[in-house]
Order: sequence, then structure tokens, then C-alpha cells
Amino acid sequence: MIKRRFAYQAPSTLDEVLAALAEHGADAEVVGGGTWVVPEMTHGARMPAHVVDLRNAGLAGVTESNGGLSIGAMTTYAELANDSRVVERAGSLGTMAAGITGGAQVRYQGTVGGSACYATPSSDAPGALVGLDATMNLRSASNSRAVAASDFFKGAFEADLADGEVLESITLPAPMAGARFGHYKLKLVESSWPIATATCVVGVDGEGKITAARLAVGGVNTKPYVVDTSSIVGGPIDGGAAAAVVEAARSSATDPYSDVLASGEYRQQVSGVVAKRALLAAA
Amino acid sequence: MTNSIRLNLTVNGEARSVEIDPRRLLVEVIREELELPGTHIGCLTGDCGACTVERDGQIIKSCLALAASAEGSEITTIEGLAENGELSTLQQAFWDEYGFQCGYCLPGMLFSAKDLLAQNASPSEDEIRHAINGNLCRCTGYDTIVKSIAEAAARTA
Amino acid sequence: MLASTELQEGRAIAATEAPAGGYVGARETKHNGDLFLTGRAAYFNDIVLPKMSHAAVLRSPHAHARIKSIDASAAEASAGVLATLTGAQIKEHTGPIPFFIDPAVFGGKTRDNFPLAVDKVLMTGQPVAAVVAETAADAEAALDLIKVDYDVLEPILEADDALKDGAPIINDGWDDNVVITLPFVEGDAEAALAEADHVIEDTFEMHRLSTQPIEPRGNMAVWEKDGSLTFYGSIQNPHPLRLHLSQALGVSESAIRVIAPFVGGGLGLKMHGHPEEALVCVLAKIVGRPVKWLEDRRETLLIGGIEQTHRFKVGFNNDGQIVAIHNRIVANVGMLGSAPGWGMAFLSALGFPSGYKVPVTDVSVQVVSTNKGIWNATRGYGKQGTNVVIERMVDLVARHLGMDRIEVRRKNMIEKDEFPYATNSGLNIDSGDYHAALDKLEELLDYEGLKREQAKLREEGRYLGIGITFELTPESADIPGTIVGGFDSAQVKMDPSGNVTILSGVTTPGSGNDTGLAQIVADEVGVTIDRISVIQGDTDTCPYGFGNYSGRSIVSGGNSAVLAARDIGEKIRGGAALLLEAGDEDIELIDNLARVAGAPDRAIPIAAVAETIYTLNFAIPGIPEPPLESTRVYKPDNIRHTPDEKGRIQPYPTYSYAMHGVVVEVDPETGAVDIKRIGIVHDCGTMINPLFIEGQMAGAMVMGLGNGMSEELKYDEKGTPLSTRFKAYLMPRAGDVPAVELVHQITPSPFTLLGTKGAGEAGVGGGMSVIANAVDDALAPLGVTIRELPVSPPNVLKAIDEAGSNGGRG
Repeated sequence: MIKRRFAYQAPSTLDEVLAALAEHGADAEVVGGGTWVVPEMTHGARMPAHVVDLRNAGLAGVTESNGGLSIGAMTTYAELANDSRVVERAGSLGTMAAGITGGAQVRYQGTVGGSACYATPSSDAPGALVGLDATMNLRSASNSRAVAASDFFKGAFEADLADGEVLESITLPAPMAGARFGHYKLKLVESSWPIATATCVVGVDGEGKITAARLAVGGVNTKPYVVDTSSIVGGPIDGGAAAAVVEAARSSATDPYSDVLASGEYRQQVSGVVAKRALLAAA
Repeated sequence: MTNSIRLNLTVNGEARSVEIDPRRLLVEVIREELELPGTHIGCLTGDCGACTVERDGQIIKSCLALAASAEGSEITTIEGLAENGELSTLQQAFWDEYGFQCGYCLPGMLFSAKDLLAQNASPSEDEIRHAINGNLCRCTGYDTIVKSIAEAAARTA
Repeated sequence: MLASTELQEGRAIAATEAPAGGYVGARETKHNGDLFLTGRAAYFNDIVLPKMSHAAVLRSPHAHARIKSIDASAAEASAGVLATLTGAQIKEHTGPIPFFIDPAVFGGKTRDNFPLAVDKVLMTGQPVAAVVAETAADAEAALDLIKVDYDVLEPILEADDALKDGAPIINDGWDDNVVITLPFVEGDAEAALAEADHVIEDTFEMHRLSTQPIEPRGNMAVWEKDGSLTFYGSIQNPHPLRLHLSQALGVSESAIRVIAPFVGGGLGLKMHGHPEEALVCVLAKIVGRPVKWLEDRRETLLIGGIEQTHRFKVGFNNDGQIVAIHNRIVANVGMLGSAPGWGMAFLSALGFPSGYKVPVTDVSVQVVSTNKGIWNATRGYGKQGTNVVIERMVDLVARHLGMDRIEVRRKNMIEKDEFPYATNSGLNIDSGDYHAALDKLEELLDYEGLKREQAKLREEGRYLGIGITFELTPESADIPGTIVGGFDSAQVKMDPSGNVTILSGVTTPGSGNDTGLAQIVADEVGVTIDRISVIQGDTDTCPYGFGNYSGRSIVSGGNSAVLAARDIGEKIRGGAALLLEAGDEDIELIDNLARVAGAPDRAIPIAAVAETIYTLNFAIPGIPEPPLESTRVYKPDNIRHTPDEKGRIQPYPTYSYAMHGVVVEVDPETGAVDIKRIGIVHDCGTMINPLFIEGQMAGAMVMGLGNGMSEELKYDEKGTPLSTRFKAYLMPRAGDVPAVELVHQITPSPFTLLGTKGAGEAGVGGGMSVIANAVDDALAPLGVTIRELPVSPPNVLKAIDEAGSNGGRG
């Protein structure tokens, strides 16, 4: 049992959630899927006086939005992985969701929104969202704002999310013409956190030439970074393009994250490899 | 407890209502208030999977859920897997193939297997291994668990 | 009454029949399996006592510190709190925790370990105070209110630092940080190395591991109204723990009852000597209520093992004959705890030169105390230290000479006609056929085909590796002067209904020996297995025994059950002979019937004989005497405690062994190791139940592969543990390993009644050694030599870099 006593509520609307958060500020903890915050409370790493559970607030589900997708913050990994629109318009996110560590249970319980809010460097969501150029839609009782994912992740365990604010949804833009998706995750063994991830979206024309590309690497630096892919545009997805992204990804691995599983040096070493494999997965 | 709350849920097909401290994890309420100790606690971090139960048709790790958030849900635990007092095909296959040694991970393995077989009636070995990746076993090396699940699939076919 | 009905009708009552050929050797399914499958098997945490209260333990945040003061007054006043206890008060309540194996028995240093640190802490996580409260949450909340004033000292974390001249001495009263140095010398290694055609000098490091059964530890104590103590625990050794609780608490052994319910995996972790055992007894006395303590996984992960460095020289000739081994082992046992873990270092040295005929060996181990966590036993009990390093040596020799590793093994292994074989360290290996096992492994793997595939893939820039290792696992140890006992006991009882109860001194923390005991007794007494109950883990009901460790349960417990069951069978035969008017020797007992051999119509239910013995004993002259109960002990042969001319003893009756082959593919860009195949040839002598042997073997192998591939307990520079959950201490999952392909080989032990040798440990060292050799082999084209475990991706990439290659990462 969690040692610190708290008051629990599960409001039935987002407005009530926001009102509760406005009232309790930093004393409140938001519970989404629970997979991150509940064990932190169990072990005393978070000791809120108020717990606000989002489960009844209607934040789950995927909807179409301007040719792209809007993903409610409470959408689980399993819902993402099984949604054909996600597979079509943001295939890398579906791949990521299907590959979440922790088994089917965590894919049924965990939410991409929740994972994003904790900004854990060694987690799947940040790199995947930056790779897809997602927008994070934030709400508080007094304000609403949209933040690009690449700005939302500010550092290790640090998201641009104020007390009283809640992630309502994540917007993914319409995919580029001829879009293909690639996602690659490196972990040490099945039990491990992700060590390095890469997400790639490339537009490919009828002749197999890259018309546009976006590639992000997660887990290597303290926050995800976008790899400079300008040199591969105009060419095919081949060994030459792979070599170019290896170099580009490594040169940007300048602020490596280090944890019990892998040093920053190791993460730097594999940054190019994961980038290359994500690109080739999109081929 | 002044701020206790009432939790109403259906457990193994039976409507239950218990008074709980909101600090309770779902696994704790299942084991203690609902007196169904067959669901086990191994890590309380969502890693080992011994606390896996079914909630509204989906398997979850019950140490990652506040009990309060299970309000109104339908829960199935290992105590509810047998059918009319007879072991299910899956349970029997785990017995016949020695799919457990100490038995501690067994509730979670059974539910992960059940979830797999509900979606895929004849899984490959790789699919079986993938399906139980959320559950740790330190005794079997997984070999006999994989065989048990394959055997259950074969018997159901 | 069932029995009397049967008696009147004179009919067979067998609902089932024994398998053709008997139960022993059959693939019998798990005894009481339905209890587990339906969630009715009661583990420690399922035991709920009236008025039960809960303990939580405050642990040191520092690896090395003096405790200046502790103020628990605020905790004492906190919600729900019943009592607090600090190290300053502990000596009023208990003496030191007795050592499971005291280094002093072997001439080493010792220390007094109290359940709470009295004045100094030697590891992060050492208990310094405890709280008892109405709920575990209240107890944990109160811990936050205890103020401890520490004088923080510089921690010494690495063994080499602890050994430096002038290194601070962490144990008060010691003159250095060495617990003990144990040499095993045969011949003149320097001279033999000088004469050898070749000498390789190298090092090997095995990092810190932990066993981590899925059920954590837990203890509960209740002082009964009559002043006696009942102790419940997730433990492996009830009777020895009773002795040690008696010694610590100053309570008569006869006033203590220790109960081990179903245990969710032991693996060595649940051998006792942990602080929380005596602690709950003390706390229960203070509050006058039952006190339960349940370990959190972060606490389980404080307990380590294995961490050791080998600095070795191996001398060999041009023909592949290994002629000398010189090896200096340093083992970092962390804080010297009372649990038996430290002794694993002893075994790592004692085991050389394994199953190889190396004429000259000079091996010693320095057991070093540091400010890392205590060791406790890890499945394999240190034998993996020997196994990994000698198997690395053999591969180094093969590579150096350009010989096939299998040929080098063939050349050096003990031949089948040389058993029993006395080793350099004084061990006496009972029996085996190592060469035949190697032949079987070659065939199982299609070794030559694998080598061709490897060569082909190498041309494509892919790195397939083949690891081959031999593993020797001495089992069923008896260490004189300790509670490591090589014998064990069984009581077999038949009631008037013809049902049989086995009460055993061995326990089954998941290993399934209850099923094996039932099989053995069923055959001896002639009843079907559904009529047999097995009771283990209760000192008030079970005969004195040592519990579970060292692959001993069937060797010692099983064979004692044979003896006790035979006594019962003899009485049944005697009774049946009278009732059937036949000779005792003509009666056979099978399928719940006593029948005259060769005359199937002359039969009587065993239950009828039992009931007759109990109810008509005065009426029928000559009928055997009740009760139908026998308690027997079995002491295996081959253990020798009288030191030989070199002072060596022989603590093991049997020596199981296995030959392992693993195929891996290494990703040179990331260092990731993909295990493609696992092949094993295993010999544990006579098999009582192949299903269970296979289960033990596969489980041990996968544990060993995890130990060798990904598991490591890491610390920061202050001695704070970093591997605090299962996403940081990386145990294998199903997707990490392929199926285990297992072939049995059976060479019964000449020194045990049934010829069993013990199973359950072989595979752990094998998994570690074979993964090391496989990765080494895979990366040989890059010039890589594997010098440490685990072969985790970062470590593999480091090894590739050190070999001057970058693995094609660009």
C-alpha cells in the first residue's frame, strides 16, 4: 500500500480534471495508465496529497484530423498498435506501440501520452513523437497551448508541462506524399529499457527517390534529436543514404544520456546504427 | 479510515463491494480484501507479471493499477479460471507439460497465455515467446511454458 | 469406512495404475499441481494471522559509516505504530546471527552480525532500525521519521582496492580486509609452466550477480501463549534455521517451530542468515503480536554473489595436453554476512581442474570483504567460477594451437574407466562418461555442419559463434562443523486406510522433489501415487533434515524415503503373507494390492492389510506390529571427512555433469548477442522423473545464460546499488532464448542407493561458460578475446573496440 495518504478522484470531464489540478497544484498527481506513476507512488518516489485519475475524463481514442491523426492522451499502446489508421498514417508509431517492453499487459495499460509526460530518456515515446513531428496539445484551467514535440521534451525527465497542466491529445500531421515509415529500437535484452530508438519518415516518389525525410533518434541524448537528412533527399534508400545518416546521427549525439544499463559512450556508438536501421526499415 | 472509499466490481463472475483505502493497489485489494491470494506480488514495479489478472477482457498488471481505478470493472483472477470446477484446457496443459515449478509466476503466465490464445488459436513458438515477454519466470527457462501453451492450442484446435 | 468396505468386498481400489515399469523413471506430473493451477497453493504472504502486525526496516543510505545516534521518537508516535527498535537496543534482545558457514571453521576471520547495525554500517541497505505498525504502509511511513546521524566513511567497493597496502580496514578488529585465503596446490606449478611448450597468461572477471526468485523473502514470528515461538518464512532450511534462531534468541530449540509454506523459488537466496529472520522474532516479542516482514524487490536486489576475478596462467604442450594451471582468484564478498554466500568463493577454487586431468594445479582464492552488499548463495554455489574460467582456458589453448576445441577437451577429460577419479583438490569424482557426452553433443548440434555454416556466414560478414563447454557439478555436500549436511531423513507412514504420508527433512522451494519422493515411495510400498501425501517444511512434524541446497534433495531425501518405505513394504508383505497364506518373499506390492507373485487371483488390497495390522493385531498371531511408520536417514557413500595426507577432505558424494553447446550470432554494430540454439547432454545418474530433470536443466541453463549475458548488480561510486528493479537487473525473458535441446546420458552413481547424483545446479555455470565461449568464438575473426561476464552489448562492443576493430559501425 502506498505509504502517504492521499485523496482520490476520477472526474468525469476534462474541465473537472483541470479544476482539480488548478486547486491542488504541485500537491496533485495525474494518473493515466498508471504504469509509471503508480509504482513511483508505491515506492515513495512520488508522494502526492491528491490523485486525479483521468480514466473517466474521455481522453482516449484516435480521431482523424486534417489528414493526420489526433491521439487522445489516454489512448493505450494496444489501441495504437491495432488501429489501421495509425498503421497507414504513422506506421512507425504502431511499430513502437507493438514493441513496448512489459508485455501485452503494459500495452493494454500504458498510454503514449503518459509516457511522453514523464520524458524518460530511455523510453519509446519521446523519440517516436519527435520523429513524426507531433504536436502536444496541453490544457490547464486557464490556458491551452500547442507545443511541438521537439520542444516539449526539454531534457531527461523534463517535459514542458506546468503544474495544473494536462496533456489532452497529441496531433500527428498528415504524412508526406509517398510516406514510408521506419522504427528501430535497440535494447540490451527483452527486460531492458530502450537504449536507443530511431524513427524515420521518408517520402518516396515513383522512381524510388527520397523526396523528403525526417529522422529522429531517442534515448541517446537526454532528449530526442532530429537528424540532418538533407543529404539523402533526391537519392534512393540505399547503402549510401544509410552511411550518410549514420554519420549525421552520430555527429548530433553530443549530449548523451547515461544510466545503469548503458553509458553515454555506448549510446553515442550505436546512435548511427539505430538511425541507419530505421531508415532501411522504411525502404 | 476516514477517507476510505467503496469499490464495486465483479470478480470471477460475482458482484463484490468492499471498503478500501484509496492507497490500495488493485493487487492488494484482490489478495486481501477480496481474499483471492492466488494473484501474486513479485516486484511492485510492473516488471515480473506475477500479479497479472484480466480486467474487462484485457490482461493487466494489477500492481500498476490503483484499486480505486477498477471501479465498475470485471476482474478475473486465477481462482476464476477453472470451468465448473474442472481445470480449463490451458490449466491442464500447464500441468501435463510441467509449465511451472515453484508456481509463483503461474497466475501471470496463465493469463498471458489466455490472452494470446484468444487472439491467435494456433500461435507459433515465436508468437508464444513474444506473448509471455511481460512475465518473468526464474525456474523453468520458459521451455515447458512454451510447450504448455502450444499444447493447449493443439488441444483446443 | 472406506477401508472396511474394501476389506469386505475384497476388491482392488486402484483408481489409477502405476506406470508400466513403476513410477521411478516415469514422467509423473507435479504433485498437488491443481493447487498451484487454481491459486490455492499458500505461499508465505498468503498466511494471515489474527492480530498480525507489519514490520518495515530502515536501511543505511551509506555504504560505510559509523552511526552516531538514532532518534526514533517521532516514528514511535506516528500513526499506527506499535514499536520501534534501533541498533542501540538490539543486543538487549538477541545475540549475533549464527553463520550458516562460519569462516572461522576454516581458520578465517569472522564478525558479529546483529539484525540491526549496532554502531557501524558496512553496506548500503544494512538494517539500522525497524518499525512495527498496524499496516505495512504505516510502518514504511514511520521509517521516514527516524533520524539517523551518520559519520560517513569512504567506502571501499572493489576487492583490489581493499587489498592495497594501507587500505582502510572496514571490519573493526581485523588486521586487513581478507576474510580467508584458501590455497589448493598440487605439484610445482612454476616448474611445470616453465617446462610447458606454451603458456597463456590472462584474466577473467565475473561481475556481481543475484539469484532473484520471483517470490521475494518474507518472515513472520508469533510468540504463542505457552512461550514458544512459531516462525513462518519463505526459507529453504527449516531445521537449521530453528537451531540458529535458538542460538541467537537464547530459546530452547524445542520451543521453536519453523514452518516453510510453499516457496516461490529459493535458488540459494532463501538459505538463512539474513538479519530479518531474528529481527521479526524480536519485534514480535516486543509488541506481543504476530509480526510479518515482507521483502520488497529493492531489498532482494541488495543481495549479491559470484563477483570474482581470476588471474591465471595455463601451461600446455603442442599436442593440446594441459600440464599446469596457476590461478589467483579474488572474490569480492561485500559485507561478510551470516548467510552462506561467502562460501561460494571456496568452491570456485576447490573445483579446479574440473573434469580435466591436469597434473599440476596451484589455485587459491582470496575472499575479500568490501562495502558492497552481502553475498548469499546463488544456484550453482560458486561452481560457476571454476566452470567459466577453466572452459575459457581450454578454448584459449585450442585457439592458440589452432586445434578444435572439442579435440582439446577430448584429450584432457577424465576417461570413463578412470572413475572414481581423485582430483588435485582432493575431490573424488564418482562416475561418468564425459567422452560419450561430448560425442552426443557433437551429434545433437551437427557440429561439423555448424562449422561449415559459420565459415559461410563469416564470408558474408556475419558473426556466428559456437560455444562448447563441459560442466562439473559436485552435489549433496556435507561440510563438517556446519549445518551443511550430506544426509537427510524421511518418515513414511501408512494409515489404516492404506494412504501413505511422507514427511521429509528436505524441502521443495519449487524444485519438485515432493513429486519425486512420492514416486519413489509409491514404487516401494505398492500404492498408486494418488494415495500419497507429502509434508515438508515444518519442524514440528517433519523429521530432522537440512532442507534444500546442493542438489541434495533426491540424493539424501529420496534415498532416505526409499529406506523408510521399504520398512513399511516389509510389514505389508508380512501381513499379506499371513492373510494370503504365502511366503513373505512371494508377495508383490503393486497398484494398491498385495498379491502372490504368479497367482493374480490371490490378492488383497494393501489398505486391507494395513487396516488388519491396526485393528486385528491381537487377533492374528504373527501379524506385523503397528504402527506402519518408519523414519530413516540416508547417508550417501564417498564423503570423507578424515583429512588425507595433504589435509584435504572429500565433501561430495556425487558429481553430476553436463556438456553444453550454444550457437549465437553477434551483431558487431551493437554488441547484441542472439542465441540461436542451446544443446545439452546431461548426466545426473538415475533419473526419478525425466520431466523434472529436464525442467531443472532448462531452468538452470536459462538462468546461467542470463547470468552470463545481461545480469549485473551495479553500484555507483558511493556504493549505492543501481540495479534496483527488473528493468535494471536484466533477467532473461522468453523472447531472449530459444528452446533447449536436451539429451540424457545415464551413468548411475555407485555411491548412492538409487544411483542418483543430484540435479538442479548443472546448467548455471554451463550457461555462463558457454555464452562466454560462444561470443568469443563468434568474434574471433575480429581478434576479440572475451575477458569478462556478462557479455552484455556494451561489454561486447568494448571488447570489439579493444581488439582494434569497430565492428563496421562506420
